[in-house]
Amino acid sequence: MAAGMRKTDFIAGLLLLGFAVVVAEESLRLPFGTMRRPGIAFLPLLLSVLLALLSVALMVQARKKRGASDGPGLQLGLWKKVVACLATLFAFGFIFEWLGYIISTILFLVLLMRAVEPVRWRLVLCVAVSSSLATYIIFSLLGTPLPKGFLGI
Amino acid sequence: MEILTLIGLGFSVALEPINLIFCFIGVVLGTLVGVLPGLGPVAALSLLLPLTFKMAPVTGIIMLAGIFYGSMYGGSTTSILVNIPGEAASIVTCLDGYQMARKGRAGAALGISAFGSFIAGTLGIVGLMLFAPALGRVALTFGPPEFFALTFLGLTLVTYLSRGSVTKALIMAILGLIAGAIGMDPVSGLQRFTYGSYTLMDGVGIVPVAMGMFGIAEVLDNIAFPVSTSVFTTKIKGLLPNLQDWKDSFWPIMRGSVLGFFVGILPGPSSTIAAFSSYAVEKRASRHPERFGTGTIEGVAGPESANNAATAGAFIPLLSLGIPSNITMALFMGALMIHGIQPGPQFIGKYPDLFWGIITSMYIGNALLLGLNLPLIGIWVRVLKIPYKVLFPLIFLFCVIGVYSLNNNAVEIFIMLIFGVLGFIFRKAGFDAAPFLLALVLGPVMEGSLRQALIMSHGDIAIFFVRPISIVLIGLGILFLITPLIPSLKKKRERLAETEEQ
Repeated sequence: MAAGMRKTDFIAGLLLLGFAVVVAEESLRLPFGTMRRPGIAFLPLLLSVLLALLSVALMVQARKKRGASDGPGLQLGLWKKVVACLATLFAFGFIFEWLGYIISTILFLVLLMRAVEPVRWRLVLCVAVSSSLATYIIFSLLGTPLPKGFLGI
Repeated sequence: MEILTLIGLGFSVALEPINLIFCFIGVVLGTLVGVLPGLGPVAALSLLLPLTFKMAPVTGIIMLAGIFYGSMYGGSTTSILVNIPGEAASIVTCLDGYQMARKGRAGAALGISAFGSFIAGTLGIVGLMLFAPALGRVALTFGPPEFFALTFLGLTLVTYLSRGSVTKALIMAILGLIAGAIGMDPVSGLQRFTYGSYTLMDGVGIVPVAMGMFGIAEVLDNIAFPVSTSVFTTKIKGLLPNLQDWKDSFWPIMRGSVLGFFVGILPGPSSTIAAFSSYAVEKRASRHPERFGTGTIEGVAGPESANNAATAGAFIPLLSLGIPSNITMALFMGALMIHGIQPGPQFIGKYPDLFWGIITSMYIGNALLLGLNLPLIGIWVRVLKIPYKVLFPLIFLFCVIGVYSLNNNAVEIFIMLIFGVLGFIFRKAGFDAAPFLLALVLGPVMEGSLRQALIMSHGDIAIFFVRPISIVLIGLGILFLITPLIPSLKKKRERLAETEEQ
């Protein structure tokens, strides 16, 4: 695994170096304080310097590992599945307070169970409806009711 | 005699019906999640943490401890039956446990791992009772420099012991500290990196991050890189180990318990290290080392006991110093703080009912597991057969409602998802998430004590190097940071990392 990471490591190092610069730049806008009374910029600035040094070290190490090739990449079809899951998750986060927990959860579960590796429809509906209702009831009993949407359910 | 009164107090708390019921629910749910593929104790704790928010602190923490113990048992079950470790600490159990299962001795393997864990857990808890209050008393004399030194040592050790390259682990620790800096500064009241977000004012919570990096990222990984599993389908019979098994396992269990307990006190992924060292010790102590790896019961009994004893040991730094030594303990600290309890040197004196209640409940939890796990193995096997395509949407759902129910704040769902994506990318690029999560929790403690110490000394860094305890701790930390630079030690560390990856 470690041997096949040469290119990835170099890119990671570059990105992290960029991030370190952003953190440093953002920290400089905050009060630094003095050594006697360090302000809130003190630690982030110190950390950004350390991060920059470490990212350079990572890039140097990546250059040293000559001849190593990158490990097996992700297949395109599987990438699509990961993206589909994330899209469903984000969409759920945006709509569930508005649409209400029960309905949006059923939609969420149906989408996920059909998107990645299609499950039989009957099973999909059974699982989606029962788990949506069950979690709703459990969380109500636990004293943290889940949101009702504009339809009141 | 005082100790007996305190233990009595503990039992009176732990045996209250409500606490007993939630301890029971905790161990069952914990085992369930532990059995599920790819979800270990950290995922189990972060997934089920929300269930405990509205409970009384004692009940909530007791349930969490139960979840934790349960998930460890669940992990061993999958190691033995399907050769898939539910968590890092039970990788070793696969070696001989799965071989025993193939020889038709799955029952004995599962049985000895339950009994071994019970005995080790019991011994570990006795150790916890003896050591934690003593350490807590010592820690009362600690000032900011000592606390800074402690967090520094904890962080460097976790970094040193994490998998893969040291540079990457250090990067993750630094990133965690940066994420920990987000929020309102308690000293000046000024805001840092919040960009007008009310949610970020309180800082990035440990629960969304843990669920993202260990729940969401784990599932994404399983979707992107599916592993096919086949459950061992022979009938499991004879769960009780026979007399010969007991004779073979007695000393491994004893040695594993003592070793595990002391390894557990040290920072780092202690239960994993405890299990590996116990396996190595047993192989060396054995009169027939060649049988290890072919299904010998000592190879299951020792490591299984060691990882349970390590768990008890790991509670010591958390409960007596307020410093979590690994990510699981960091989650416990997060849970305590959600209930408004700050673990630290004052903890035991201030909340004796909580401290002794938790300890005795662990004991009860272990006993419940022993009684539960053996008869319920049939159910766990059935759980293992649930297809992942049905399971993963439910895991996602639980992550989402869990995080939401924390504060009824949808923004935290997005924080979790972002950390899920980041966690997935980091994982694929060979960065270990553990140092990040621990740094996130230790960051505020570390910064606070650093700034207080500098105020105390009027800006003189020498304060860290004139006080004996702080100089020893910082010295050790620096030692761990520079050892990877020394070639021979570097090799040893790499070997450890390799064995951990199998």
